[in-house]
Amino acid sequence: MLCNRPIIVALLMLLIPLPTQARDLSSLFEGTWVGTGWVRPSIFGKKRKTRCRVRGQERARGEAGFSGRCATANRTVKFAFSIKFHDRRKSVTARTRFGKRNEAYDFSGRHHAKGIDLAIDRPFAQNGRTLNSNISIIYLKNDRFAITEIIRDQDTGEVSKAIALTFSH
Amino acid sequence: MAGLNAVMGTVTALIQRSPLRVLLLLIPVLVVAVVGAGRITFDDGHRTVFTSSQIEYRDYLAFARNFSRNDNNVAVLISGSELLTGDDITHIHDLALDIHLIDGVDSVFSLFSLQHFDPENGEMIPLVEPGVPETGIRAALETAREPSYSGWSAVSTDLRETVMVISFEDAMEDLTRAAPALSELSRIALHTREKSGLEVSVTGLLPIRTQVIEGIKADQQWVNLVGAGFGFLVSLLFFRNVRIALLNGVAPVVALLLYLGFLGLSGLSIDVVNNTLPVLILVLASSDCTHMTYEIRRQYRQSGDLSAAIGNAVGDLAPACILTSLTTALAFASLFYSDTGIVRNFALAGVVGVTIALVAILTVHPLVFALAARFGFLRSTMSGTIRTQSPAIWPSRMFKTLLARRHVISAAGIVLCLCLLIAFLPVRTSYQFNENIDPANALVKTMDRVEAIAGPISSIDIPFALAPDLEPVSPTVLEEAQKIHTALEEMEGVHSVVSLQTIVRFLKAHDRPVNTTTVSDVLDLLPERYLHRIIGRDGKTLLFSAAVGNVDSQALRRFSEAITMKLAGMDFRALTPSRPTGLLTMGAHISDTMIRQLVVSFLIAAGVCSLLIGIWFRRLDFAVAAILPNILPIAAVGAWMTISGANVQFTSALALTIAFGIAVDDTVHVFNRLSLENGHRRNRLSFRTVSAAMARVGPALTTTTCILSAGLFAVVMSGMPMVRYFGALCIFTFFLALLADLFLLPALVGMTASEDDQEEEP
Repeated sequence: MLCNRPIIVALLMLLIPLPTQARDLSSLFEGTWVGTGWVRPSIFGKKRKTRCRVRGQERARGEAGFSGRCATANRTVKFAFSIKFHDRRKSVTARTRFGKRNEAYDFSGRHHAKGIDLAIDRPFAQNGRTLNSNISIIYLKNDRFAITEIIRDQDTGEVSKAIALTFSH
Repeated sequence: MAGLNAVMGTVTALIQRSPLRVLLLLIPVLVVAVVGAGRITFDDGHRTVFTSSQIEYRDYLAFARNFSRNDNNVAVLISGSELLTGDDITHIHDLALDIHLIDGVDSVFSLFSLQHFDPENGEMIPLVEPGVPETGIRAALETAREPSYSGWSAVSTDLRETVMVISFEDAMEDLTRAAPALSELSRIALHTREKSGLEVSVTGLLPIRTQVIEGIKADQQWVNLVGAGFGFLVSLLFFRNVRIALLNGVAPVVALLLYLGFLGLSGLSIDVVNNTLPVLILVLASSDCTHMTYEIRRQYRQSGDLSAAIGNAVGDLAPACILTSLTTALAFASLFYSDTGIVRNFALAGVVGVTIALVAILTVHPLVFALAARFGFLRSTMSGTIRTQSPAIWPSRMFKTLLARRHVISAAGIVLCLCLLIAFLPVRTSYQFNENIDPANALVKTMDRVEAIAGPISSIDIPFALAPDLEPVSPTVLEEAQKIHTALEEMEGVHSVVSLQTIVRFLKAHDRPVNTTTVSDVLDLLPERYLHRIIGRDGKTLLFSAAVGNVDSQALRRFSEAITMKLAGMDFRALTPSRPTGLLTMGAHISDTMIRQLVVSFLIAAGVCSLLIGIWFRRLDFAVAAILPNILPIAAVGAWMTISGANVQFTSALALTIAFGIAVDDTVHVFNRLSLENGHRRNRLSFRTVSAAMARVGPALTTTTCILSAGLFAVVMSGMPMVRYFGALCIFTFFLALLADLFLLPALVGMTASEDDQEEEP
């Protein structure tokens, strides 16, 4: 289900625009973003149309925070997310919390000219499976971003495209 | 009294000596009042109306802390002209998505919330989704018609309409916080309507409360204006002079402004209870100002000295004005007997308002006339011959006839009053949540339609405490929950029940095994709001909600008692029932106590006012005679409400107390005139004195009753039915009181009066 997945983290990551310097990136998170697309709440199950509304703000140089909600027609998930940009080797770290139990998930990766690539630091468990998550954020024209998440079952190798969303102001 | 006269004499002399200086002092006060009036806040009273020390309120608070409430639910009705199609489903789906994202929305129940088990994937999936083939839509909608885990049905029987129930966060109970969310919801609804051609309507307690506040604001804008206008027209009718009618209206308008300024500066809100106070203050001040204007004109025509006329009129009428204000203030003060915050605030606002009106009458009214006299356009207006005979409408021979038949009339009055009191008491009360909004209002009609489809949105809620050693989902608890659920369902008038048993039935309907694991799994899937409509936040209480629809408070109390008795006859091991609670139940019980307390307040006011009159005039015969003519109208109106089945509502109980406080003013003016005619002596009155006094004061009483009634007639413009009802009751009571003062009071006074023209020495 939507609330059991750490994918939401990624949604927030993609709100980040073009500059590659940490201090420039974090300053561009301000504002309200609306996302449309789909998610697979049960990861390997059916797709569900989704909309998101998130608000971002810069907390410090190179650090930003986001909060908001994503909804399918029968469920809303609230979340909070923070991201740090490190100039050294263009690395990125992030943490998200969401769902009923407010679980925390940590991600790390790199940012580049076309976007950001992230991988979950530790696999997570759901419905008896051990899963890894990889998120790609791609910068689009007209101040928009697309995000996709690929979930892989560590044991069976099964792969699912779990998220596809586009965000704009 | 001599001291009072001396003080009033000094004040009036000061006003007449330097009217311009007094005006200069008044102007900054008026400026502050205007600033204060601009800061007035409005409150529908929903959060405060039942705040009290009563046990039902404490039960409700405990319930609200532990369980989710339905108070902040908003319903959206989506209607198509025919069976909902695939495109309609897509548009409704988009609407649900957008609604979910509104800040303040906690959860949304819609036809997309309904799930069924997909054996192919081994998971629960939505029953209805965009993209379902047209051939499958009818079947899915027919399944969605059945009541769900929430107790609500999502689709109408003809499959043309669907309902969404939006639960807002508890903080949205504050309408200033809910306003942006409601506004965005309206915008989204309009967008869907335009895009899809479907009819989308929004209703629920939050929109209704918002509309009540808009109604209160509109009332303040228009009712006061129209009240002042009507008061002016009546003054014009009686004085037959535009200038006098205009001058007569200045002090009341100043009193209104000062009162509104007080409200704004003190932080007291205008709510559904005190909404009528501003226009009441206006008409009260108008009434006394009319008495004074009459007297100024009469004195001027007698003496030809305008300055002396103003001073003498104030001196003669000030005691009566002070006493009438005291009796009205006492009527308001009697409401402090209630332990409900909103009624006590009404009492405070009323006492202060009446005091402000009195100050305006005794200072601003003579000031207005002093200024008009100084600028010279009053003398010709006020001059004219004095009628040596009473107006034909109330000839003195009529009062002589009444005095001659005083025994019969007094006895008939007593018997009638007793009969009416017997019919009135014990009081039968009535309260409904939507009584402050018109039944023809679109929100109410949509709510009726929503409840016809989804079932009642409101419920009687019964918390059950778990035995200490048991978990909420355990075999013993599930077994007992089934018995309780079934017992409640079987009760007449209960539409549906939501409890843990609802989850068990959901599993059985989908051929799933029922055990603690499967039940817990389903509970885990529920949005938190729905979970806490079944299991308390403390994890130690279960809730059983019986949906009963929008019935009045009497029926609700009977339901509540029937449920308590039914549960008392059952044997429990795992669960212990608490008293039924919830917003409906609390309202039904507390409103009954509140209304009864208001009736007691009236009785207190009646007793104390009579005592005050006796002490003021230092005459026992006045105190005794004051009782019947003022209780009789109230008893008559109360008896009518009981016999007609309308019963006593919150507003009508308030109206009776306030109308009494105002109606007794006429009696005070009669006694004041009697006292003046008798030279303020305490000896036995004569028939001649009584009939002369009545003939003289009769026209003034009639005028002031017409002014009061005309001013209050303005409330028929109110968009709120209870305000209109309040106005109608007060007007009816005023005219009954006028008749009682004109026909019964002389007879009662005559019981201790002397028939001889020669007055007895004390």
